[in-house]
Amino acid sequence: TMSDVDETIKRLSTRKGVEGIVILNDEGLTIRSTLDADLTKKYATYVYPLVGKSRTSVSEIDPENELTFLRIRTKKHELMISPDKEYTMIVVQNHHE
Amino acid sequence: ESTKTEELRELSDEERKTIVTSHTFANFVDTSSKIVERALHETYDFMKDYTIGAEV
Repeated sequence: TMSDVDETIKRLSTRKGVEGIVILNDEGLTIRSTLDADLTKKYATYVYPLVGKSRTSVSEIDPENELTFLRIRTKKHELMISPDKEYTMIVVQNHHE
Repeated sequence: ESTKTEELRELSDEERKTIVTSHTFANFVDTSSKIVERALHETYDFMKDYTIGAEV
């Protein structure tokens, strides 16, 4: 049910260091986000293409392999990206104490 | 007729509602959130004291 989904998102967003959660469809369009509209759009625009590229790269190297998760570590954050055939979940975590 | 170079359109509230109430979406959120929770638990900062490519 929708409330289960929103509850899960809410619970996840209270985890230590979690700054935002963005969930996209298979076109990179936003289904749900805990970030403001501008920032959400940036993640959708700039992070979503990385998923497809990573997926392709993995299977090009080895057709029997597939992308299961993507983590991007930056100075300020770690992006945890869970890709699926139809959806992508991006979680932005501040990894500092 | 719109070109791909135009800005991404947005999902309508109705489209969002259809997705959010679907089973496949619920399963995805459930599974992904569990995986992410495990990843969030790792607190070891393997980059601490080292920065590659950042300003010195």
